[in-house]
Amino acid sequence: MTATPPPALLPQGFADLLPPEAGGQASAVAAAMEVFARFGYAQVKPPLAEFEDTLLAPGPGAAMAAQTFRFMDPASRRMMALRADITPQIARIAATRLAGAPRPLRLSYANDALRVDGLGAPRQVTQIGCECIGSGQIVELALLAVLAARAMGAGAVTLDVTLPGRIGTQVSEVSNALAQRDRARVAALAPDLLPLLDACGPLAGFSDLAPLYADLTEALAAYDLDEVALTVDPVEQRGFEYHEGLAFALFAESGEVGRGGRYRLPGGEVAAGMTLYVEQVMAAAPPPPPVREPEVCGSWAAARAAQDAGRAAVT
Amino acid sequence: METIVLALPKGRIAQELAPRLAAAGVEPEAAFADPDSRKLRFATARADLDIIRVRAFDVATFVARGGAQIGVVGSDVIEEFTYPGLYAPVDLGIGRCRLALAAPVGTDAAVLERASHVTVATKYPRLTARHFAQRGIQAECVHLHGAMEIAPALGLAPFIVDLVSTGGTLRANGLAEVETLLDVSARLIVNRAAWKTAPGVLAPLVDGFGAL
Repeated sequence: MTATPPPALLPQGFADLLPPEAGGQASAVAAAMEVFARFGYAQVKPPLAEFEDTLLAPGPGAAMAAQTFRFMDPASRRMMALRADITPQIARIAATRLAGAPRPLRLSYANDALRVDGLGAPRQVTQIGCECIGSGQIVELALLAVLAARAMGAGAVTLDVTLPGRIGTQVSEVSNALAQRDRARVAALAPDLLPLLDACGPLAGFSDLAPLYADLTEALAAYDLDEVALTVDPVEQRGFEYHEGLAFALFAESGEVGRGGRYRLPGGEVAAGMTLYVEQVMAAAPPPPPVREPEVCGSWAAARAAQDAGRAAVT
Repeated sequence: METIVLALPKGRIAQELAPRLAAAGVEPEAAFADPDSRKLRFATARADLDIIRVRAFDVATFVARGGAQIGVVGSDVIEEFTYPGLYAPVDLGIGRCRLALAAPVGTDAAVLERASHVTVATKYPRLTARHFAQRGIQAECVHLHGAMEIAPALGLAPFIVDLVSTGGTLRANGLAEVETLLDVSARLIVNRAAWKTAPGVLAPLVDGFGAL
């Protein structure tokens, strides 16, 4: 005999978003999408599920294989997968249905994704982001990430530039030592990598990326965002498996709120993109305004007048 | 970030740690050294630095989740949790011991060559399962929080995985080491997001701990 679970209990990692947080998140997402639109990014809406072999195709998709929920399609009897990340879907759209569209192709999205992630971490995550297909420049994407996070209410942010692929992705004693930032062990195992480890810090002092630093500071200054801290971490690899050459992570006081970088579509076309984790950004933003209790008016005309004046009203 | 929180473990490492704290310029308030103190959070000579004292296993959790920005914990705990948000920049070289597989004296360890499944009593279920999975063996871990050494005699599990420094406790309970899973020493750990957003505050502290 099994006891009936309490009706409020949801599966691990899922939550009801209630007022005022649900409304706060919706307005924040709308504000970010407005930023993307001003840069010419057009919104697409890919489906929740795809066939497993297309969703997890080599490239951005394959990196998410371990985090993906799968199930059998009773109609086609093929394996289907629920997206764990939106970027692979945009990559597929760009490489297939919009293959003939002029480049650079600027697409944006705001959707939920589902992750296997155990241990009580959220499994349904809201992602918003931009992908610029046919151009590998990341200054525009980094600027968009900062602008969108700020539009959503995030306070001080740090943009951390990473160089995926600069050191091998092979898991080894050296890569573990680098991942842990263990300077003494790196010195013992691979002293030639010490300069890269020691370069972790302000981007301003990293001569390899001087042109990028100049471009980023110019872009940020144009939007009055001079206070954004710019750092570089040439040894960071984790979570940048499909990126090539240049990538970035965006940090707020609450932790990492987004990331982006350069990658290739399955067909080899170059692209750059960025994603913000909406729940993380909201954790760095002030709490949403409280729910407005409607005032009760004597007539619909009076209610409308109150609504026109910016108040909530019913009869 | 207003105040940096340094998480330190209770127990074994604590005494060895005192000179390293001094070297890093961390001067805790008097209550920190008082064994009768009920406090969990301590001030230091620096207004922007507090110390919390928690269980060794919890140090990693506090730092990984951002409750503390920096901490000291054994590499056994780091490997057990494998939190993605942790850096371990300094091997403090103290609290040295090893994480070992042990069994009652006389156990033929060759049974592991042919086994597809093994039962192990341990405080480190994830690390143990990972270790055996690499050898093609499923480990069924009986999760205990202490006194692993009596588990084999009472029939809980034929093997244990536990910290060993001199081997005295194992011998006293009729156990012998079979193999070493991990050489352990205390590490300085740092929260990744704090490292990225406040490098100017944390880096001098990390250097101070690493300098000795």
